[in-house]
Amino acid sequence: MTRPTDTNEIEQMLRQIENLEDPPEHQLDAFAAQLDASPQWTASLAGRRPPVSPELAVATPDAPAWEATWERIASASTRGGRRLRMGVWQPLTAAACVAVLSLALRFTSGPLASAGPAEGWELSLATGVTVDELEVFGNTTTFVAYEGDFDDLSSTAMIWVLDAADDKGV
Amino acid sequence: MNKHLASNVEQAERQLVQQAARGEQSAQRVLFERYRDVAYRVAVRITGRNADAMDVVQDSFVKAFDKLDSYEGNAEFKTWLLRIVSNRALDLLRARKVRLALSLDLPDDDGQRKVVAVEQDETSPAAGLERQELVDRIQAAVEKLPVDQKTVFAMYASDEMTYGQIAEVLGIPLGTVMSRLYHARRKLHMLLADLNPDQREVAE
Repeated sequence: MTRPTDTNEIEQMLRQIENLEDPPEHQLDAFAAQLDASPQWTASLAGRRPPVSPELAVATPDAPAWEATWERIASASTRGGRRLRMGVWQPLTAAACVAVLSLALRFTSGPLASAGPAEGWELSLATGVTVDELEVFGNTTTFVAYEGDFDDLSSTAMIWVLDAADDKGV
Repeated sequence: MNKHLASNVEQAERQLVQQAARGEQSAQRVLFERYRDVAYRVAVRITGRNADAMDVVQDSFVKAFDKLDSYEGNAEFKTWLLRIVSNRALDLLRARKVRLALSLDLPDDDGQRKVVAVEQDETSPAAGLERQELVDRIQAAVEKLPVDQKTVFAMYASDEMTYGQIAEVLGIPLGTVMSRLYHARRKLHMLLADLNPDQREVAE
């Protein structure tokens, strides 16, 4: 048998492969290439499950271990409607902080400073916001402060961007 | 399972995934309980360590629930999840190799190179020492496989995946799955050649 072409030859080849009967390397390569090139054969064999000895199964963790794992997953997955990716502080904070500060400047010194609610922007704190990425440029220091306790992630978060201290005199 | 029943099952799972994507923890928990075992079996075959496999499972589910809004439903949730699991397990494997390499390169205070002890794998309670020894031998042999063969073998050994699902998870063609799996099993056969025929048959 060179390249298998019909169903019986395909089955024969599969048996050789699954039973480790050492088909010649060139036949194995040709068989694999033919399968890869044939959507029809791929579709017909996709649902086939290779035979596995039950002794190959590994023992899975017990219920308490899984419960502990679930608790960690649940804790990581949900922190209110707003999640801050604390592992990426600097890229997280800069853009939002710049936006906050620029808005603050508009209201304190810009044309909007003297505008009443009917003429200016109506601001409200955003909820359910996820900041995925933030870029900070220049020599800045960033941090996130919460209105309440630092660990209380349900309280209002403020992102600060500050110029890094000049350490020349230190 | 007839087509009608299969369709209902698929639809039920799609609804479950949609609920999980909305952040419903009850739905997330169902998905976790449904796929945690197969995720673990794949992870432990790739990483070779129970503790690392648990970390991989945890990280993978967190990531999966986090990214559910990007899950388009073109593949089954299980195959999508196992793709995350295998990638995470391989990342961990690469990181472990880097740490080991760095440790070997760093001399101690006397300028002598440190001898790094290979961490011992945790062993689960065994029904018998002989059985556990066999399990350990098999896993040690799996560790010697090239990465591409190891991942295919890990999926195969989970005993829950078809050739098509393995191909889909790993993003490789079906024929390539069969070829890599054959080579992996053949290699294990050679590495475990000193086992008695009954034990060797189990390993393959």
